[in-house]
Amino acid sequence: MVSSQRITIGHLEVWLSADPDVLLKAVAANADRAAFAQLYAHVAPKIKSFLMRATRGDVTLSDELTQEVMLRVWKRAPLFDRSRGTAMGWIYGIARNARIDHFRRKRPQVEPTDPMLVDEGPQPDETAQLHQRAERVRHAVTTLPEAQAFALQHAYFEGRTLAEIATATDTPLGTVKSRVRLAMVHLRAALEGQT
Amino acid sequence: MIPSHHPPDEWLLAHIAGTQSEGVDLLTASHASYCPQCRDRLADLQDVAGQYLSQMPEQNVSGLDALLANLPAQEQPQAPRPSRHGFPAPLERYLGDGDLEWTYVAPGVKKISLGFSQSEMPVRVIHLAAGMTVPTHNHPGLERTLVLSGGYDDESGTFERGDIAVADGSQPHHQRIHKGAPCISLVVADHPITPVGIKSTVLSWFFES
Ligand SMILES: [Zn+2]
Repeated sequence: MVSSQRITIGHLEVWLSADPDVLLKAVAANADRAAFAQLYAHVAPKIKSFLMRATRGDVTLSDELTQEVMLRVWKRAPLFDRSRGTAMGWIYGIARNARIDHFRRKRPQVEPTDPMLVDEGPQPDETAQLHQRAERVRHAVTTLPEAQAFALQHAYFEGRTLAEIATATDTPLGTVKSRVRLAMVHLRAALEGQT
Repeated sequence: MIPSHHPPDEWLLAHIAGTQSEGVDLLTASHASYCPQCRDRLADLQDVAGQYLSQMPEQNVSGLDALLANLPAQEQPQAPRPSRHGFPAPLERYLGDGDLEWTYVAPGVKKISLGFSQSEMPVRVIHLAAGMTVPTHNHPGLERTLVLSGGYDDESGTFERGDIAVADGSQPHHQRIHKGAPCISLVVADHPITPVGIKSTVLSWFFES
């Protein structure tokens, strides 16, 4: 994959890449406005789609929150650490947080720079693997059985608890829980060592 | 030392989906500081959410020009703050920078109640003296514990720093605190705890929030 995909047409700078990992890196490293514009074009329409689901179809609120999410993406881009995951996962987290903040709840977060952090000891050299993580994630998702994927998506995008998913889909709670458990086993196996 | 008792899968998913109560989220995030394994699983769940996000249909948006006209300065990574009381960072945020203000409960027992909104479950840091035994008790809902230092044994096993215990109210349990150091833990309960039998007055502390 080529990483310098920027061309200049007249005085306009244009990014050819639509890879969020590449674009976010440029936004972070150089406060690159052209990369940000391309990232906006690529992800803002999807974020709005997510927020429409999360707000049960409130267009005004979804527009407002989408702007807030993209503003935070710009502001916080230098804090993105690609050794800890994909750009899209990070952006999902920002969109989720904007949704939670809207309802004014505090949200305790995992803190990867916690001085009290316990590590597993020396990590293998992961640099080469990092580039493949987004690809691995994509593959892991395509091989996830439909019922399991459905449970995850309901939680992610509609903000439903497992009990609420069980009720909404007329499925026993135990079945929903076991689908989530199986999904996580599947994902861990597919992504092992790829964090 | 890596913990041997982890949060249930649904806590991890609910943490990433943003559907968890604040108290249980605090337990999950604090456990993650101690547990590389759960950090990996959380990263998996978040990246999978990102993958689903990238497959979302597209809705019309029109705010790019407005954003570009007013882009603020970007935040830069800061050196992490040292841990004030030796607890995980997510918990430290609730404890402030001052000395810990413990409330006396009973001989060997003290607590700090964390400031949560009224609708939330009671969340406390509990300090139990080395070698003491907490009388048998049960409770109407779940009692969720993250051990922060020291350790204890109960009917379901041995719990030490970083371990999560979920006690179901239907099974009375009693804790034997390990000798040598006090056991400090973060406890999120659904309801006040009911001592079994009239002799146990030591647990009346759980009734006051
Ligand atoms: Zn764990």
